[in-house]
Amino acid sequence: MIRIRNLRMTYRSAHAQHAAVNGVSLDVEEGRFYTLLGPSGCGKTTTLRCVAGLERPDDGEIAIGDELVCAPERGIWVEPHHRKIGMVFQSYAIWPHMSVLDNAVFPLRYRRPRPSRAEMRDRAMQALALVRLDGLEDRPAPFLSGGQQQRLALARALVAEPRVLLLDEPLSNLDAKLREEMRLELREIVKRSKVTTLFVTHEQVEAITMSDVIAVMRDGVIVQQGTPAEIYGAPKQTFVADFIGKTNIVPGEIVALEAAGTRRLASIRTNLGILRCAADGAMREGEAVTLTVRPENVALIPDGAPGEGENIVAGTVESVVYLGNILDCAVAVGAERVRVQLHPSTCVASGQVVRLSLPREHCLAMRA
Amino acid sequence: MTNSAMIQIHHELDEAARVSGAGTAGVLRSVLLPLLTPTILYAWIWIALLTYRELTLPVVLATGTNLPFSVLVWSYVQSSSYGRASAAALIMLAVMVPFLLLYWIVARKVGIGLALASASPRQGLQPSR
Repeated sequence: MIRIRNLRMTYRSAHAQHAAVNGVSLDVEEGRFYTLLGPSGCGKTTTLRCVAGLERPDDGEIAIGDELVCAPERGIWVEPHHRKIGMVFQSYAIWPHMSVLDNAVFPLRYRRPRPSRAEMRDRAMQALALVRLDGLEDRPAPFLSGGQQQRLALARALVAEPRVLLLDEPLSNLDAKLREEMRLELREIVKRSKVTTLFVTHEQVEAITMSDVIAVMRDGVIVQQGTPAEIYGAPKQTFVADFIGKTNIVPGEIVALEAAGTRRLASIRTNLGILRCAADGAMREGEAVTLTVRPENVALIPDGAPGEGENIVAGTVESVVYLGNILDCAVAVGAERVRVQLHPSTCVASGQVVRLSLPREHCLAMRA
Repeated sequence: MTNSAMIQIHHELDEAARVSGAGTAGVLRSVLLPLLTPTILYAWIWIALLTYRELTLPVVLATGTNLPFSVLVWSYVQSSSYGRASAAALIMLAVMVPFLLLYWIVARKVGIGLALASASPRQGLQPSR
């Protein structure tokens, strides 16, 4: 379990100071895979390094398991080597002067009470088997491929059964194909060892496929936290909607609100015309909002089908890009451009006039 | 020389040791010293060579019972015994050879690791903060 309360950390140089982490609070439940996702410079790595004890925050509290490891106000500070954690670095940080086995054994040598030599070897061999590196234990560590070094770094992080596992963009140095394989394998290994994991990445695909919980960060704060489905399907800010996957963002203004069962339905005037979607309880008439709709949720209405109705707009196809599994189209509707993803068998060409349906349940209105 | 070698060692290498449970002494003994060994040895041999052929100061400090090689060679040259001077200089050289060999062997063994360590897969990329 990891508990962070109101964490703040400012980097100071002679000329300037930069608040890297600006009040982060989060809870990672035992055995969960928790991801900090955000663009470069959003404070996610700094947060992770504070949990590891490699950075000293200015303010806030961090607890690992039942132990408070950092609370500057109360003068509590536990050094990184006493925190009983495992960590995988972006560069893997495999020690080049040691063999594969020596790398894996290392954390056990510092465990108290210290295990016997035979036990250390057994446990290191088990960890190597877990990451499928058994048989390579005597090889000098530099003679491993990138993917193997990555797995060795994971074995080393897990060998001493840490209270938490910290992953600092561990996949970013691998090539695209290997990264995809390792994504699944990493998740599998971590789940099997049942260790509480804090994972830092800027890749939305990694976050969505691997996590139990995602926290999206921006400018040193968490802007939204939720399951991958919540983050992707119900983003609360345009930043989140835009950062996780592609989305169409259309500015508009609420011109009417009406009750529809337990929820409220808003009519929003946009450059695409009047669009209707669910409104949250606090929205008022006349308020400026942003409407988002995912490209895969926009449908093409076939010729001959009834042309009028709710949330239907007409436009001209500007470009069609064939991506193998989908057709990625841009459709100009007045001054706006709507991105649409269609099945590759769809018959559509650029210049064609088409009608698009933006289903109400897939349109999300959020405060501008 | 040793300072620039320290800079070459990726900071994540010693951070990995710290989160693995090693204190300052442990990090120094298990990670930094082994990686710095060839550089330290190289620096030591370089200084030793400089000291070994030093003449000015030993000439002032030398006594009849405590005669460094360089002063001996110089005194032979002074008394025009060039044959003896050459012989003494050859012995000086012979004494240095084992040290050079030792350096060569150690540098080959550890140097490979060091070269690979500094050529880590990530170059010019800073972790996002």
